[in-house]
Amino acid sequence: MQQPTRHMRSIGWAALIVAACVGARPAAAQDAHESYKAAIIYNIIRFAEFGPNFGSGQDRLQLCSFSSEPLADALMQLRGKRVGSRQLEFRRVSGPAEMASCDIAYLGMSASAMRAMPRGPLLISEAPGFAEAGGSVELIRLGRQIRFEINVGSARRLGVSFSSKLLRLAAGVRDDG
Amino acid sequence: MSSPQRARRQLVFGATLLLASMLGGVTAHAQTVEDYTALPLEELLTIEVTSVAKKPQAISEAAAAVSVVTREDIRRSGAQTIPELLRMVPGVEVAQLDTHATALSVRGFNTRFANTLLVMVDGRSVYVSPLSGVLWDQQLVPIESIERIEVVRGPGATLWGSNAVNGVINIVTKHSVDTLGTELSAYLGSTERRAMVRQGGRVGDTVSYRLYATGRQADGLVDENGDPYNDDWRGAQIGFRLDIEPNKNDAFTLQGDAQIGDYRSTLVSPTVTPAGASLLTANDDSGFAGFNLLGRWSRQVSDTLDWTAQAYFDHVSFRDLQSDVTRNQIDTDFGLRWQQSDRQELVVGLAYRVAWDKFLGRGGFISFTNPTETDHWLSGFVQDDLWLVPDRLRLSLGTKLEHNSISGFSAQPSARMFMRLSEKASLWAAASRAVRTPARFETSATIKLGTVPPGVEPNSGSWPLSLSIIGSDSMAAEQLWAYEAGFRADLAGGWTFDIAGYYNDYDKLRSYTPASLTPQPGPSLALQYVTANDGKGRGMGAELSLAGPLADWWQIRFAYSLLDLDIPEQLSRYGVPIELQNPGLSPHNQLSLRSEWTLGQNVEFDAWLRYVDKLPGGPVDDYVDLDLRAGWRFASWGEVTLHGQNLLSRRRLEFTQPFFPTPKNHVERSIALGLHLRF
Repeated sequence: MQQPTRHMRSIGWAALIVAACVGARPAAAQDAHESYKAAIIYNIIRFAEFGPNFGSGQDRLQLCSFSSEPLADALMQLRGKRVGSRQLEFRRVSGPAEMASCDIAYLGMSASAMRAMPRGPLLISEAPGFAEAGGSVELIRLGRQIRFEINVGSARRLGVSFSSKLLRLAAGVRDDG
Repeated sequence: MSSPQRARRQLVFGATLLLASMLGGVTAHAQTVEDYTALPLEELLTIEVTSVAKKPQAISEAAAAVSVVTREDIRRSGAQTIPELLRMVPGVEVAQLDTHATALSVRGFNTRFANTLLVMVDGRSVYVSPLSGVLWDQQLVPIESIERIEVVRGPGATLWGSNAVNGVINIVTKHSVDTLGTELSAYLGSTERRAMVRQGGRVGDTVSYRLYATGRQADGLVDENGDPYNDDWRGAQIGFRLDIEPNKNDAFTLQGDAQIGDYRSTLVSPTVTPAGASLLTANDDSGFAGFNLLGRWSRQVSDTLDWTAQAYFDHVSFRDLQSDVTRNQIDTDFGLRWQQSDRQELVVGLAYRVAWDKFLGRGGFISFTNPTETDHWLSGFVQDDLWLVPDRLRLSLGTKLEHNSISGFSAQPSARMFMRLSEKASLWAAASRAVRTPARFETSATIKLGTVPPGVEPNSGSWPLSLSIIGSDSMAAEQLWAYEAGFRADLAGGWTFDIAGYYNDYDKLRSYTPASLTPQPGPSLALQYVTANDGKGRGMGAELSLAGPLADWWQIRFAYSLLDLDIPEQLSRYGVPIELQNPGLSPHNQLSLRSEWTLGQNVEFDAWLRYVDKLPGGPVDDYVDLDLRAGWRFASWGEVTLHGQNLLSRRRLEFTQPFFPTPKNHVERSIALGLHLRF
């Protein structure tokens, strides 16, 4: 009698986990917030122009975030979206070293990770002062609002330019020359 | 709700609690990444994060005729003032009388002080109740700081109370987090000059702010020969906005502006002199000064409950119409929204306003029985939105209950129905009541209009006729019952279509009713009118908008307005006509066609063609005119534009009016160079 019970219990747990992932989570406000942030990141990427030699391949763009990053689930849903002639891919990485092979790195609140970065990926971070310190894209959080600041000089050095529409909508634009 | 088509239609609209509640609609569904990525970025950025689980509110779900002038519309129009911008909105009539006077109205009743339209800047009413109108030249919010202008055609009185009769215009400025850094604008034109400097910043991740200063100078309009009328205008404004958002649930805003300006105003009154009949022109040194301070606290208590509390003080003083006027206003407002269930949402509000003003006539043109007066308004509203069929059919019922010291108690109810026909099409219908409170000059002033020579309209007799108006304190509020319906659809290829129609039934309209005709030494006759509520009328019309891309780089925006306003003439017991609002000062037909070319990343070329029908009640002819704008973004931080306005005619007359007449001022063709820098 013990075997079936244990079996049923694991099915129960699996069902709960599936329910948690599929059913309950989209209803929570936190998820809407993360979906919203992911959409802003997607728009920033969409309005960027990547030079022909940028990145790991001409037909793809690999977006990465740390596996511990709360936004990773939402960013994953951007997979398959088109950015010009390229298609977005998403990869979770465990540490800064692994990010070197990504095309776009979302660093979350971490700015220290940037210093460990080689020049390769386009960096997006929420760490305050990130754009001023030479990061390409800083997400700005102000209470309920989310905006972005662009450092066009830093992006240019990577072979990335941004559309005038995006720059107009940016909360701030810097050019480090 | 998670389909991308549906999300694409969700133009975000109405961040203010009150406006959002008018749109109604319980959208309790969670938003997915797919929903948000389907939204254009500019709309995405106007969503308040904590309310996203429940909203965004969509224009496509409004049970009202709504238009929004966006940042991009503002930028690409080249317009430098708010009235110029509003020329693109269907149902709105804009006519310039003078550098300091614009006749601007929605769905008829246009005059210099159009009194059936409520106008707000960030929720602060700029409708000057002693005058029953808006001083448009004094609305100096820098256009670079405007997030959007929301225009509701038709009554909004259930939410906003008295005077939101034919429409509501809400000018919403950008959140201060959107104006970080330094911004400089200069516009050097053949008829006007404008400059703006703005500095914004943030402190940590909870506080952002901006400070700005702007100045504008406009050459006077000209007569039919192109000679100037010497009515040059100049004005300046400084202001700030501070936003504090210490957590995800609370948002505090403190903002204020101060302004000063001067101009020359010209009044014309008919008169008889020993030399014969002539028009007396009084050229007056006029000016204005004012300041305001507004505080707002909005709180998201939970996913289903939020409230906003707001208070402001507003001081306006001006010298014009041969009068010195000051008006002070304190307004407090509380609104709460509670989503009881997926199907039902309740919005309630409570407001108190006190205004004290002083209206001193100079030169005998206008004089008041009580030069100073204090008025009070106390009001509450409740509105319930109920999905009768989930996601298909919504009913909104509400009413405003208001008591004011000018015209007493009024109830201003409305019933609105929204029906979704498919993912891409919807219908709405509404019935609502609104009232307009009388202006101070209508209840307690004497206005001397002048002496009309024999044979000159309206004097058909053989003696000179001196005319005056006496304000009556028994003047009651004007009333409207409005019946509206509309249809919206998303067409193929990214085109959108919106049509709204209305029937307005007006009662107790203000009249100047002849009261006495007495012989005077001279000899002449004196005809005295009193203000009364003898007018009745009806307005019918429709507004249509169509917008979409002809190519990736070519966007078209078309608007058409049709208006048929009838206010039948009536005779008084003396056989003399009762003077009523002249319905012929509004055009029957108006067209606006905008074309936007985006050539690569840095070059834009825009054209704006307008047609305005003749004003049948006066000497103003119909006109077609064209504005052209070329923009070149020469660096990530700078843009230069060349802007030509009214290119098809050398000059044109846009408006004349019988009361407070101004000379026949003509608007001229103009060309301007603009520079916009942002660091």
